[in-house]
Amino acid sequence: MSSKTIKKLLLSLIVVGVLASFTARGTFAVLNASTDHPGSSIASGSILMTNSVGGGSNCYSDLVAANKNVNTSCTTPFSTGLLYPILSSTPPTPPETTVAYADITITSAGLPVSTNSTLPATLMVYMPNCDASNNATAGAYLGGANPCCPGDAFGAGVLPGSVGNCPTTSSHSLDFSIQEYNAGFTTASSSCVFPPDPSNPCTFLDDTLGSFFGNYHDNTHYFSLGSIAAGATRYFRIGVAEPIAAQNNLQGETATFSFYWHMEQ
Amino acid sequence: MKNLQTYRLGASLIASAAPRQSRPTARVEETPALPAEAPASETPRTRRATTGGKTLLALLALGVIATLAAVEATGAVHNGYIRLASFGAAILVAAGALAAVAVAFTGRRRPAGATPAVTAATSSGRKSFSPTKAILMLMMLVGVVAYFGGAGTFAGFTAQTTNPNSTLGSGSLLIQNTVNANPVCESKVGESNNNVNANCTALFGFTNQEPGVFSGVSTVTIKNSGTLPASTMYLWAPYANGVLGSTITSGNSVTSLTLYGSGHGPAGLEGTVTSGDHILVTYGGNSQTFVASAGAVAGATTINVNSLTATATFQAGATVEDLDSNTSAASTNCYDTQLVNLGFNSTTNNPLCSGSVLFVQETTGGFNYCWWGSGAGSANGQCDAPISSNPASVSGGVVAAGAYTVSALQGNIKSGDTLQFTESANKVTCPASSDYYYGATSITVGACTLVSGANSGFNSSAVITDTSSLTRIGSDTTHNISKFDQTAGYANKIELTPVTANGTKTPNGTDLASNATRTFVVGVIIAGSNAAAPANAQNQLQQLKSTFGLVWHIDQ
Repeated sequence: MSSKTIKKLLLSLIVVGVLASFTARGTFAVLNASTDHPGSSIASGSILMTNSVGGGSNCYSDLVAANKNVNTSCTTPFSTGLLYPILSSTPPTPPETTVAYADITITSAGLPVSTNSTLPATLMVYMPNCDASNNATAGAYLGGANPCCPGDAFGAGVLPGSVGNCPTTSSHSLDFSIQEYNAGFTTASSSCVFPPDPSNPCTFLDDTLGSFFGNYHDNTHYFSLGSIAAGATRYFRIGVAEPIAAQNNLQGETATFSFYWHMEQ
Repeated sequence: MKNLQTYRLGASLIASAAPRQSRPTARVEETPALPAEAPASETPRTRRATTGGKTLLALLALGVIATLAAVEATGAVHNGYIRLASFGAAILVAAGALAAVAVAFTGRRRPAGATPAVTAATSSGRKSFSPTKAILMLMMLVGVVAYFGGAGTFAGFTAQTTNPNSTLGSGSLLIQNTVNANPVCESKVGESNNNVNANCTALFGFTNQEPGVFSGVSTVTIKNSGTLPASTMYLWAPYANGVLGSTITSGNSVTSLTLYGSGHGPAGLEGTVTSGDHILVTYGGNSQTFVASAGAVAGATTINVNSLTATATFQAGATVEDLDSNTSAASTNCYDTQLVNLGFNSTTNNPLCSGSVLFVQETTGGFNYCWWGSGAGSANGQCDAPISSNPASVSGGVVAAGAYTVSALQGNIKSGDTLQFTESANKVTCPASSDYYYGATSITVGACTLVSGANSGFNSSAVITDTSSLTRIGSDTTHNISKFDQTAGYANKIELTPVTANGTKTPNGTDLASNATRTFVVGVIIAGSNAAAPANAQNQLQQLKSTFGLVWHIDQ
């Protein structure tokens, strides 16, 4: 056999080898059967929130995509310059100049406008900060008491760092309440959300602002408002007042605080 | 003399194929006696002396042809074309031989100046029929006769037996695939005409799901309805794929592949295609690979490809697979779509596919094995499959240690897991006393602890969940659908060897005998928050939908 013939033969074998390597996928079995389940799917639901203060514009949790369903720029509930000690624990009917009210509407919906959530959720609220400061314009008498005190979540006289230590003697901090209402805020529910009272509407109690702040100030220390159905709306009136037994050292003080409304599956 | 030796070689070859031919020389000897009747006026011929070699070669060629014809006549040649060629050659030879004999016997005058030998032969003024030529003609004739009539004259005495009607019947490997109580899906009726059915029932269509909450499961029964045992049975994630919706005709130039949008399997393209990907189209025994000339999004019904001539006809219904898919989270068979654009719920890299844990647990014959999912390969055969069950009753409304009859578990409970009883705001936890498997209707728990509310008021509407299982699922980052596609695709398919006990599989043996069935529970759940996917990150999973497939396959 000539060398030329041998070369041809070897080249042929190489070609066969190459073809075998490319066709191996289809030769792992001669007989086979196969079935496929296409189109299996799992779809997630959604939890969205809309916040409105005093019937004003809506603040949507999903307004800014980059913030991933968190909106920290909603309307300030109130900005009351002057509060006076109340004479009765029964909240006066608004409009009222001696106490501060804010009507807040929470809806389980978001953007696009009126896009309801599809999942039920637990609604919760907490106060991430309560900062006390002297109000230099309040008058000559500056009491020096902390209106956010006392908080009791961190031990006597100890609150989150933003507040600083409270005086060891009680100075009575501001009164604070959360009352649930019907749509239109015309009828209060028969119970008080905070301070919790399952049988009676809210009344103003001393030190409740500090109590709320001290206990519910982050997403691991939140105050549960219970469930909110997908698409449902709940109405809350927040009240702040100076205690009946307010002392002079509470004069000229300012409390600045925020609310975080949070929904979780 | 030299010529005669050559001719004898030809005769010998013929004789070997047609042994009954004999005594050719007798015919040769008769040849000189044949009268030469060439007309006197014929032009003298001088070519014989100068073309003897050519004549010899021509005659030799005739001999070879006749020999081939004879050999073919023995039946040794099976190629149809060769047989036909031999037959034609034989006809030509026969015609030539007859013509030659006729011419030879007709005779011709010798030209002047012929060689002495020729002169002797033409002394009578006519050409004598050359013995050599006569012999050759005879040999040719013998060959022709052998071709047409030799078969029946092989021997005087013969014996023969025949074994007729021998048959060879092939067996079959067929799959019958049943999801829950849906109609049976058979591999043999697959539109791709190759025992592949890409249009079986979807495993589930869970909607409005939330992380860490029980979704549900489907049961899949796989039966080998064929006649052959399947030595291997596989589970794998399909490539990004679709079903050809428009026939491709052999020889036509193909620049795009049209896919069915519904009703034939995947709704359009299941997955995505990237430009340059290799797209395999298969129908029956034919397949051809095209190269995508542009990307195609999930759900697309057209894949543009570089122009290529179809090597076969691919009917509508052919399978279309992207062989370069399943290599990253962005190229998996599982794909996410946005149900509502919330602004923050992007589908880039299919986040819900990556956030949803898939599990496949076998339950055949009461033996469990976790083939895929959190807990895969566990000693007790359990996947971490969540439960959401209800007690038939709670004695006194108080959850306490003891046995409870419950609605059939749709998941598993591992011994020691924390079971939480929830009734409105009341929550009580108790440890599981043993392993409990899918379908169990009775569980026993140990001493219980109040978590919130009060340990009172519990009844049959209470919900029992396995918080330990949910925690394990929430921590699993390797068994989501995206990982399934990337690590358990065709190249890394999971062989489903027989399971002989809970958590025990045999390495050898037939995976699925003829008419045998195997049963699996398949579930998926959006994993709860964990270190890898904290709660705030999961916000991005809202209003998304993951769509995917799953393949069951058997081999001989």
